[in-house]
Amino acid sequence: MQIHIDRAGGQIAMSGEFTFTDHIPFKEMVTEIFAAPGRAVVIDLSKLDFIDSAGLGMLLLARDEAKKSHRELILRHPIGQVKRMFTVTRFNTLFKVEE
Amino acid sequence: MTIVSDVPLMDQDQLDLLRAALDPDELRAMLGQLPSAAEQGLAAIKAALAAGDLPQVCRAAHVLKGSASSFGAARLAEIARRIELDLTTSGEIEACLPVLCETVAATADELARWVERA
Amino acid sequence: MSPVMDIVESAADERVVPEGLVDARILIADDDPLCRRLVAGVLRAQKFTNIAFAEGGLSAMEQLRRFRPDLLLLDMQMPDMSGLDVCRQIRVQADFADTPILVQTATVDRKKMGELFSAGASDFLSKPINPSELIARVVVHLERWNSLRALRDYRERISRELDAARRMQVELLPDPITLQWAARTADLRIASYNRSSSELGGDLWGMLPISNGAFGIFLADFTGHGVNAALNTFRLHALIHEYKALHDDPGALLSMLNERLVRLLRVGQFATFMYVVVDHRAGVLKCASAGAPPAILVQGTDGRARLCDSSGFPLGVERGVRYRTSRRKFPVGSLLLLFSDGISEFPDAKGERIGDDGLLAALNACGPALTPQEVIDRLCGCAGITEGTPLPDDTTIVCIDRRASPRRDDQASCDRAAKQLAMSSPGGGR
Repeated sequence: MQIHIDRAGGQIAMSGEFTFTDHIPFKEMVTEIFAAPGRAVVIDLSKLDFIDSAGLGMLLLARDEAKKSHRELILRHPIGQVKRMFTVTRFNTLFKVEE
Repeated sequence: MTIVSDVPLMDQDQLDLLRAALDPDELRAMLGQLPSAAEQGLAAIKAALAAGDLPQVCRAAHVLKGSASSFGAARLAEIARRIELDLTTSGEIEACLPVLCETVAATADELARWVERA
Repeated sequence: MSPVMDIVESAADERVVPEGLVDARILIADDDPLCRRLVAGVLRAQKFTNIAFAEGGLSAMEQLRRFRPDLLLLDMQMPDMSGLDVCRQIRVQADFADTPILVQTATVDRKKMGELFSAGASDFLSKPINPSELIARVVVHLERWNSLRALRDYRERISRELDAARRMQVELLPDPITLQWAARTADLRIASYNRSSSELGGDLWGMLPISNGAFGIFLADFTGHGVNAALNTFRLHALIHEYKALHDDPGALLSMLNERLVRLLRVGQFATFMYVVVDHRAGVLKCASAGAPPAILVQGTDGRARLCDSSGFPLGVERGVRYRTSRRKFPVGSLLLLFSDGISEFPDAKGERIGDDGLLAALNACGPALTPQEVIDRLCGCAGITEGTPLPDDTTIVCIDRRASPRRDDQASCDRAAKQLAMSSPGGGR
């Protein structure tokens, strides 16, 4: 997985595959982005090809961080397998997902 | 044979290292044993030489070199080293014996003084 | 006293041998008694107490057996055996393959030094003996040896414990006899496959007998794998058996498990869960799912394989979720396949995943003569999983087969199919 962070804009773009092995960089990234001032944090998933259950778990962690810091978390444009996973697990109702 | 008297009788640095690392009584006791060990080494070299057993001469010289050098008896160690490694004929070794005897005695005297001082 | 002496003495005073090392067993092998005494004296001055001596090579080998030293100080030249030979003979003994051997030598010959190390010496000590060097090297090698041993002991202990835990986890799975009994009572066949990516897994499946031959089959997959996920499978197993009264009501069971797990699991942990009650008398399945991969269902003899909707919040994410039970026909001739994403998301040699649709197609391609175990083997083969393949994720597959069992006259064609499959059979499972 690759992560591109725009701290000032509260934007994160993820690409590749988001799996168990990515939990350390993702956690660091979440801590970092919520430490920066701002309102909404947007995670752009339009270039993310694959997510496993550990990846979904990490999104839940991000959601928890957002709640704690009273920030809005938006997941933008999931596609393919990621979108299907969101449907199967109803994550599309847990998160604010922008198509 | 070059003159071994160039080499100091005792290696003061080595003795200092030992003094810093060892219990004083233990060091004194060991230094007290060195002269008789050196006498034994000398006797072993002589006996092997008389028997014409040069390899045995080397082994005896090697042991003498080891203890002498470790206890700072620098000149004695150097003569033993030469007998072990440099000298090849019994004639050469024979010629070296007087200076070896002399050095064993001088080392014993020096150690006796050193032990008293320490 | 000279200033040089001051420095030497203070250096000696500051030198501290770490506490755990002074009990180390040290063997001094030297043919010169005075040298043995000197080395021992230097070690004792540093509080080393466990010291033994050998007067030559042979006696060193004998002491090795009796005294079992942690470190050996070996004179290079001894009358009965050379230090090199002693090193070589020690290293061929498995017990002493890594024991530090420090060889004392006056040699500075580079070739001889090379021989020394290739004979198995750990390090050398120069002669005449330098006490600081002696202590420093002894300490370095004992510490290295100690941490190596500690690491090895730790690994062995962990591996024993993981092994015990793995056996316990295997015991959570349905035992073959109960499974076969349930299958026979319901006049169907059950086959399964379960493999973890490491010693312990986050997958769990089970069979819950209900009444009149009906039974439930559940398949759970916790986030992640390894110890964390495995401990959660034990929690879940206990919870499922706590709610026996709900075993006949999939929706209610999932709702209850969710309420319990949401309070137990940390944020970011959850389980996907599929529960199906198989009622062969009524010819129906009652299903509820919590975000599990879709079940694949073949309804009746002429049916095509279809994916069943399995959407739902995974267990342990949100409080107050009501899971619904859906009913599906399961007449004679039907087949139900449950699986964890370990198979559908297994990246094959090309990095490609078979996916739910790929499994569906593979199942449709399976002939009716295949036993359920053969179906599972075929699907594993199609996904690229073979017996030795390391799995990146825990993998579970359960196949419930209501197609007619092969009759005697069908046996020949069955054997042929089995033979064909044997080529690509991944085996495994239970």
